[in-house]
Amino acid sequence: MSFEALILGHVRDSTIVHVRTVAQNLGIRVAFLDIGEYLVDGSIEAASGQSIFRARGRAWSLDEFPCIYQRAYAALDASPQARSRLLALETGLYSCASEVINRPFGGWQNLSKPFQLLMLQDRFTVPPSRSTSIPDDYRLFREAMSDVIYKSNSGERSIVDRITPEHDGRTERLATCPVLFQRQIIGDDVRVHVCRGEAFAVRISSDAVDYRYYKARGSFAHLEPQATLPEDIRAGSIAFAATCGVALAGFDFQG
Amino acid sequence: MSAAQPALVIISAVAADPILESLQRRYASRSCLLTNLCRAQVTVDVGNTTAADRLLIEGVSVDVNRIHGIVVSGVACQAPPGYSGEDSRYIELETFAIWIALLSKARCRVLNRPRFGALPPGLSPFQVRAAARQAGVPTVTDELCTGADLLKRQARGTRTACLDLVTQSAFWLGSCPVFDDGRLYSATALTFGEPQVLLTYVAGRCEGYVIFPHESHAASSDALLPATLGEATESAHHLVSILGLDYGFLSFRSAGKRLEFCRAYAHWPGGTLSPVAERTAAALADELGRS
Repeated sequence: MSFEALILGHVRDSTIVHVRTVAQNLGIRVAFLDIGEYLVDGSIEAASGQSIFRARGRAWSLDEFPCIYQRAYAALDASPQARSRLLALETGLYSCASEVINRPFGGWQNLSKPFQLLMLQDRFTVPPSRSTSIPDDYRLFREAMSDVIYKSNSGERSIVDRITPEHDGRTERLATCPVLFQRQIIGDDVRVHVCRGEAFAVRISSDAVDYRYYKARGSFAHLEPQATLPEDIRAGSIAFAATCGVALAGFDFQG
Repeated sequence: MSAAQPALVIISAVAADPILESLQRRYASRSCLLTNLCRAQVTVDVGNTTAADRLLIEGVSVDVNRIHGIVVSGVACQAPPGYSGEDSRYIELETFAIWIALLSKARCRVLNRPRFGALPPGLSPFQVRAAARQAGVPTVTDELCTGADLLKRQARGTRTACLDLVTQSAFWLGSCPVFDDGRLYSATALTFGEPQVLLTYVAGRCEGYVIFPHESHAASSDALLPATLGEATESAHHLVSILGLDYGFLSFRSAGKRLEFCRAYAHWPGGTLSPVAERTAAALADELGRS
């Protein structure tokens, strides 16, 4: 049986579960490889110009799939063997001949949100943002902005939330670990996904600061697909994804 | 480090680098060496043009807009002790992220500034070799091995250049302990004692040398055939553009009639080497002086 695509990810990753379900419903012949199993004792072998993925006694040539959708990552506390295998897998995916969504190292700008903002501020309006590990500089920013939210600087997923007086006791901890602060923008979220040069938007109304976590930190999140997008947003998103060399990208707007 | 505002900030993964030491001597007390990004505190603003980005290094406030130049010669980012592995990793990722923004935004000349269109900073030598192969540069082969595989090779007396994919430390098989804990290593075809061609690269200018890595000394570029130097220089220019480097060192091995790329270094890979160190430091100072 030949496959039309390979899905490479963690079996319980909600995005992977969703993509597998959608692919199945659409009748797309997809193979699935569990990165969790691979990280235990798998290997990547470069042979005859091909990247061979081995896990649990089975071998797959990554190059034989027309397309690969991957979400390869390991937990922050992953073991040395898992970390070494992740690096090997990323390198195999980078080198293989298949179309990889997204190919490792493409979109690396996601490693640094303030860096991304710097790159995006010529295309879009970005909120006043301060990335800092200096407590006094944080206090000045907070005084200058009415409402402030905080998030991670890196690509590590974090729950975005509003700064409240309850956070004051944690300010000095900044000296060890920087945080990205932004003036809060009031309004609906608009998530724009760019896929192979096309933009798809959805408006999200929620009472949670971070709509992704509305179940824990709010009460609702309504998603409404948008038929149209302002041209500058559409064109800017598509152009930025292309410049990053990624086929699939997500952009968060608010207002 | 000076307690005053430094003119030059050097970020290096190693504390003792003869080239950077020579460069520091030129700037005297106006330079500052940072060997662990986690030891400095940082503020970077976006979308607010009135603010001044700054560093706080050992209690000294440094105005980023008044720095004359920054040299990035490898990056070490190690969280302070006392945190769990997970928290340490998070601190390191967050710190690295803020530094990428700071280096990208700094108005002064930054050698090895993170570049939007280049590969990400901080790639391992294994990944850099994969990128070189993709770019069509002849490159030494990598073979992924477990610790058990390496121990068998070691027992056979093989002494090749290896890389621990977890720690990113390079070693000659037999000279360092191998962890047989299931992690993967890369073993290359480069063998102990084999001379290498080393190119120093500073903002478009290359110089070539023959080095014997284990002996920490180098011959002059006179020992290189012009054709060899030309081939290495061509590959070097191609590689630095992919990697987004202004400053670095690229090593090659001779494989039959062609050169194979072995490794890119962001710091001087050998030991003390005064003539090369002085010339490279002069080239760095000259480049910083152009801004």
